[in-house]
Amino acid sequence: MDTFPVTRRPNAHAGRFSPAWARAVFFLFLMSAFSAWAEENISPERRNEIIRLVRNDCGACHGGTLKGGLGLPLRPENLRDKPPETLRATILHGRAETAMPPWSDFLNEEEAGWIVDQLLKGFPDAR
Amino acid sequence: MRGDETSHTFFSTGGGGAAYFPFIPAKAGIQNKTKKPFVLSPSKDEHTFRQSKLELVGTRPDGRDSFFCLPKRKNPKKRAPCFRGASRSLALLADPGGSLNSHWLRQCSDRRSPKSPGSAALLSAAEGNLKAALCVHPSTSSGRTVFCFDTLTPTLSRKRERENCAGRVGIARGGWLGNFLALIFCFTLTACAGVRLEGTGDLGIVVERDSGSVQIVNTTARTVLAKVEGLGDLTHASAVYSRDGRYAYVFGRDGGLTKVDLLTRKIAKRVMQAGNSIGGAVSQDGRFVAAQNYAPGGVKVFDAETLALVADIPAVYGDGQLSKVVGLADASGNRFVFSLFDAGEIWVADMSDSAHPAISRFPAGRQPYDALITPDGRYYIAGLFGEDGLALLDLWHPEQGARRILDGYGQGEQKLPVYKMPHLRGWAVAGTRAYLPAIGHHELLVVDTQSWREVGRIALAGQPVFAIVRPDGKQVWVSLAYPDNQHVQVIDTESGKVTRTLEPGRAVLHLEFTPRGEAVWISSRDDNKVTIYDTARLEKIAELPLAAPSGIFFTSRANRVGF
Repeated sequence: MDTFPVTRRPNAHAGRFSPAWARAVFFLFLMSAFSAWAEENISPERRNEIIRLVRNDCGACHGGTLKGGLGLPLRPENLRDKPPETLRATILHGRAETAMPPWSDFLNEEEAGWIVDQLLKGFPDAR
Repeated sequence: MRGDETSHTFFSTGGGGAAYFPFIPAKAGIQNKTKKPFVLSPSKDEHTFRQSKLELVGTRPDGRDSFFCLPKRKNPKKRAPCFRGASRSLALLADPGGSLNSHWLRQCSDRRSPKSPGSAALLSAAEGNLKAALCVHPSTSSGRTVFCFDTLTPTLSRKRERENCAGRVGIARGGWLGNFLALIFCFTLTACAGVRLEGTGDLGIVVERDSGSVQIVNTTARTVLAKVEGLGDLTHASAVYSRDGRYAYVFGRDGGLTKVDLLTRKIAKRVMQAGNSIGGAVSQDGRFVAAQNYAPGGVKVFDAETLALVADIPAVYGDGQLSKVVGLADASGNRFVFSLFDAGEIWVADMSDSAHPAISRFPAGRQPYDALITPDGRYYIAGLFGEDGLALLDLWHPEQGARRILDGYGQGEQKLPVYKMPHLRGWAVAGTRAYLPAIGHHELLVVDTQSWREVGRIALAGQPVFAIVRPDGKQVWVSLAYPDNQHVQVIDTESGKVTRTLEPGRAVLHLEFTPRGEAVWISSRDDNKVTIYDTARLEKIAELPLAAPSGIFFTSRANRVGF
């Protein structure tokens, strides 16, 4: 029972279809659209650069063919069981107590995510 | 002047004294009617044969040999003899009316072949000026003949010629036996083995990492001699040499071990010996070649001649796990010394009983990533990745175990990320100083090799990967890791300072001094070249185009301990 002279606005959503679950779905849609857009943020030239970086400089330890070396193999069958978030974090921040360095000085979040996507599918060759 | 006085004119010799001409049957058409059919002019481009001026058809790129033919005759049915000439003599190549040897005939479909009957053209000389194809157009339209020969040696292998020429020119079609130039080769056919008479001391190989090939190079001429393909995954590759300096054992990333013959320029033998490998060593007596493997972790020892497996040493530690093996080097007493990255140990394998090597194991420290043996062969030093320090094993007294040196060298400084592991070898030592990369710092540690204490540090423009001393000890050349890998720095050992920062090219992967150090070869992967510097003047003196070159290995390693 309101005794304060507060004016409640009428329900702003009155008349629109907006249950909580629909809002959640819409939000997720926006997020995925955003990340799709963010991926397109990586230009084709930058993608080529990243491919060369992975093949040459990650490949220094993981093998030019990504079959492993001092570092673990990075073929799709090796990474299938690992959560992509973990892989992305490893690329950006390295792994303590191992020889894996952080690459955040050279790659941003989207680019690391793109690398993980490509590794899971089968990493493209350098052109 | 040779070969112009007698009727043996046509058998004149070039430099070596061997007769170029094979036996010519009596029906050979050349009638030596004049006493001096050749008139050699002082200029090496103008000679006459039977009073006709010879046309220069082509010259070998290094100028040491030229090819001449008589000019086109008015009567197109007449054939034009051609000659090969060195500076002071000429030897007949194509003899009208001479006997045909159908094994040597190929038809020329190269577009540079001569178009008009009776003329000839020199096709391009192959790498190293060793092959030249002389294409002679017959008088008729029925086809052209190509002759390929090795211009460096006076002998020729029939089988080799067919191989070497087949890729260059078209396959023979029928019909060339008709009214066609009768051509006689001027080389004897005695040496069919195909082994060239040359030393290997100034040879080497450069790995082309993306194409599974190596290029054989000559450090005196600064040329590329031949490409050898089919070595598998060479995205990381390392090589050691046989005791006689003739064979290179190339260890590929995919576990391939390839024995390359530098004289025949072919693969002599190849085995797939592991799943993932990074390098190896040849034993003190030259009988064994050992490979260090990541997968399965361990060392495999092979017979250096046949590549038959002699011993398998799995790097077992803990509860049955296998460790990656790094830092394999040969030591005196026919031993192999190596480190286990995951186990943190140094092992010594004594090959006295080759089928059952005696293994000694020593704790070393966390994650030894590579190792070197000092040039005197006494000390084995493993660099540690997992902690600040190095492990030193005195091979004169291995029972004393490995001791820690330069402990805590990184204390007080923030550790920087390591984007590429440094590589250690005995090239790090000059006199009583060792120049060792510091892990996690953009510095070289200068260590006194008597006391094994740090006596200085040299700040660098990036993280060191290779720190290699010039053979006379006056300079240390350092290559850097990503993202600074376009730079190479030169340090003067007397002052301990960087005297020059060079930019040989993008993505410098390796550098190697010529045997006595007057020049250094530096590979640049992304610029597809090897740059050669004069080490005294620090000036670029040559560049060689190579596809994504990485490791450079010269035969001078064959007799260095620990290489």
